[in-house]
Amino acid sequence: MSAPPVIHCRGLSRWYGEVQGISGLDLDIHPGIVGLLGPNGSGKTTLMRLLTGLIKPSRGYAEVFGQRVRPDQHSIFARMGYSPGDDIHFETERAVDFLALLASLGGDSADEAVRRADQVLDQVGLLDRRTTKINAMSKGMRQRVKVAQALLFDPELLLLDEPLNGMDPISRRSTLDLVRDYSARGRTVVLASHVLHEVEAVTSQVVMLHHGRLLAEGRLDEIRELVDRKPRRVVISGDDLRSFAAKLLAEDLVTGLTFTEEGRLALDTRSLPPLLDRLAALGESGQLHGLDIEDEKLEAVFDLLVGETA
Amino acid sequence: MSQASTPVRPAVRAMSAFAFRRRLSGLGALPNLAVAAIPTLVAVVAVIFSTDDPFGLYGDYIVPLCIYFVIPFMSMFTMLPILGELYEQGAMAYVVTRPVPRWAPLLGLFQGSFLAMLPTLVLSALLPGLILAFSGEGIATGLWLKRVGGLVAVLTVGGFSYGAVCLFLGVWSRRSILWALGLLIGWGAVIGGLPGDLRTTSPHRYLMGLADSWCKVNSRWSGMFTPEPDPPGVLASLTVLGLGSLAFFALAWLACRRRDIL
Amino acid sequence: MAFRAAEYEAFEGERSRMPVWWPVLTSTLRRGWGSKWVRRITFLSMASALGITVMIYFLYQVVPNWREMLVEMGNMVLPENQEDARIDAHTYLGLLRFFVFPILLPLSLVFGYDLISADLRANAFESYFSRSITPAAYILGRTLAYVGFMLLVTLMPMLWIWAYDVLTGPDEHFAEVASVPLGMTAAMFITSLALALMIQAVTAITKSGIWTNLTFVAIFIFTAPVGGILFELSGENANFFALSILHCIHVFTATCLGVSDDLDDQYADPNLTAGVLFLIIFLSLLVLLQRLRKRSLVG
Repeated sequence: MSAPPVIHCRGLSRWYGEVQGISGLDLDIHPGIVGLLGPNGSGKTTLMRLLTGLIKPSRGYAEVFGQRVRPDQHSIFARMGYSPGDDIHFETERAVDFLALLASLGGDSADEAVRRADQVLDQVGLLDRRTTKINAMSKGMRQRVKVAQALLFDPELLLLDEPLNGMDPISRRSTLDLVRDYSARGRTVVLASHVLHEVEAVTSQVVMLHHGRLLAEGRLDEIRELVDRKPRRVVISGDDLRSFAAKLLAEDLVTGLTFTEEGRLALDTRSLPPLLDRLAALGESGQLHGLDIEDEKLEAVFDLLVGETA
Repeated sequence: MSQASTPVRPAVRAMSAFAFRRRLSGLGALPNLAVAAIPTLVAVVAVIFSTDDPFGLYGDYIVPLCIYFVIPFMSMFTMLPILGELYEQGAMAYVVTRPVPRWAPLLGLFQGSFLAMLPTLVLSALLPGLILAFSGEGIATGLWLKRVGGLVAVLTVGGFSYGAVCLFLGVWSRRSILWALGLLIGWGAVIGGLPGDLRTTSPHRYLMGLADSWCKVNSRWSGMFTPEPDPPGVLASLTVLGLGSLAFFALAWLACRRRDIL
Repeated sequence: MAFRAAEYEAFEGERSRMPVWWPVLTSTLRRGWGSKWVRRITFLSMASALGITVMIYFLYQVVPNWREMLVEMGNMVLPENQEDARIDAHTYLGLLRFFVFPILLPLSLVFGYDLISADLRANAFESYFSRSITPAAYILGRTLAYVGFMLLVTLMPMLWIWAYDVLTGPDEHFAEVASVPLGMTAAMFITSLALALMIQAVTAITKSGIWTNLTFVAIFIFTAPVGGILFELSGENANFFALSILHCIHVFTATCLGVSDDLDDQYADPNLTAGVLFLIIFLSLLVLLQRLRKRSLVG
């Protein structure tokens, strides 16, 4: 028998007046890193808020560590760290004071709170900025402080709502490393994002939301396989594209082709790797000047999945 | 970690220190100081223009002005912005996702804000007292001390009670200022200053009762409000104000459990 | 490879001929009307005016000479040393207590919160000023929208009552209230303008919706009793009443209606009250332009 889920939702729904935030969500999340994916407005933040008791469900329920989430269910919060998607807002506080305040709210004495604050600042690489005021920090640094406050008390469950927004590439990498290390210690991390490759860098387990509904849940490669079965578009520019197009059609590498208004050639294919090999050879001959593969943006995957489920 | 093992005291203390710092650091103290300066301005005008007895002027004008207007405005200025900022900007999310009951940070916020309000409340009673005391002669220092000290005590009790009302309003509503206007100024200052049975429900009647006992204010400024013919005693006043404050604390606790943090 | 920024492509479509402040005005009006509280206040005010005219209508049906009766009743309750009661422009000064004083503050609070601070929260100033709109045009659009709402809620009901009063009154009554439309419009326009600019100036300083509202509450409410106390302490120098903005509005409206001579010595000097309102307009404008010019440079 498998271990009980860390997060368990059944029929979880939340409306904001007539606007639907989350609708009838059935979801189980087990230890490890789980990417919570969805475009803006898909219900990621609403789900996070429901899991932390910040808002109450209109219908259904959510359980964390086997306990029903309620606004004052603070025994859950002792085992959970949450980094909201909103900004910090404690503008005039110094980073160390802000974190020490939150550590004290977890029961630490004043000295212990400062020690713990320094510890998490070190974890996110901001120890040298401990006395900098929040309002003097860059967006990326503020994001790291937000992650740091979620790490206080070394929680078993980490809920991170768009933690990488505004971070530079180095901070992104170190934050993702931190998430990976965290999970390696048997912890659960739910990482909400609308950027597929961010999530892909740390986990293959994803939950996809769309318009407040569960669109897909499972391993990313399964979803990718689904995506790969669909034609992909490659747009190339170069010399003598017409004769090259005729060859490609004969080789059965493309399912369709079109010339764009700029004189470029758009190729639809179900066999992307062989096509890319063929194009690489063309590139070496100097005939190919430019190549764009339609980006695997989340929106594209979503469009595809929404098409599948429609 | 079990629910019972999380100590509440550090949480209250930390939140209290945060609120105190927020209200008294930088420009945070300016609004309360501006309110506290108004009785001082009145005292200055009295010294310049009036030939009446300064001790009487303090009782007739400064005491009612402080009770009717300084307490409500200072309570609003102290409590509502901090709660408004925490709730409206979603910053409360950082506070309530900690392993302490929600009432603990709220109690800390109240405690810190109330402590930050005290120095300015004292100033609003003390400065006019000093100005008027030095402008006239014939009144013993002890009497002055008793009257000013009495007013400080009334303001402290009033600040506590009205702070509790503002705590509830700040947690309960987005439009806390409109409600505070209705409750503190409408129900408090106006209803409490008009004749009729309804004034017995207003906290101002009981604050004036305390002023009557502690400041020995026998005649009150009646330009706008009718003096209470039969002011309540100290015990009755403290009981009503204490129970009222407790009721508003309870309401704030209920409201903080019900309000969504967006 | 050299880095090259994306080329700027000039807009070649047809441009609107509307002035640049027009979109700000219309969007403010739309957002203002979108507020439940603004709609409530507006309907309440309109319904009160309608209620008064319906009452006059029924009174007219039951007691055709109700005007004379009302004047006689007024004379009975007035002290002997006062002039005879009459229904004239001075009566409309009394309507300020129904349609202006109770409405100005709540409407300003709702506006301050929903419009001005909404822009601050959404960081919309930067968005506005990244377009070809100047701070002055922004202020103009915003102020006109605010003034429009204020006039709708305060002036319109009073003019509605005036029109009904004139239509149902005897011919000679018109001369007694002829100054009302123009005088009331001028008074309410200046009042609304002063408040519109002041609330925006306070917001520009506090940069917070909640602090703007608290400041406004203090200015409106605290100044009235302080004025009263200083009046008493100074040996009844009525000019201290000019500290109260509501008092200034009252006296200024009386001046515009041409009945300021009827005001007794419990009222501040009309020139002083007008000066206070114009000073508010001038100072607010100054603060706003200075602050907005600074903000428009951001980014």
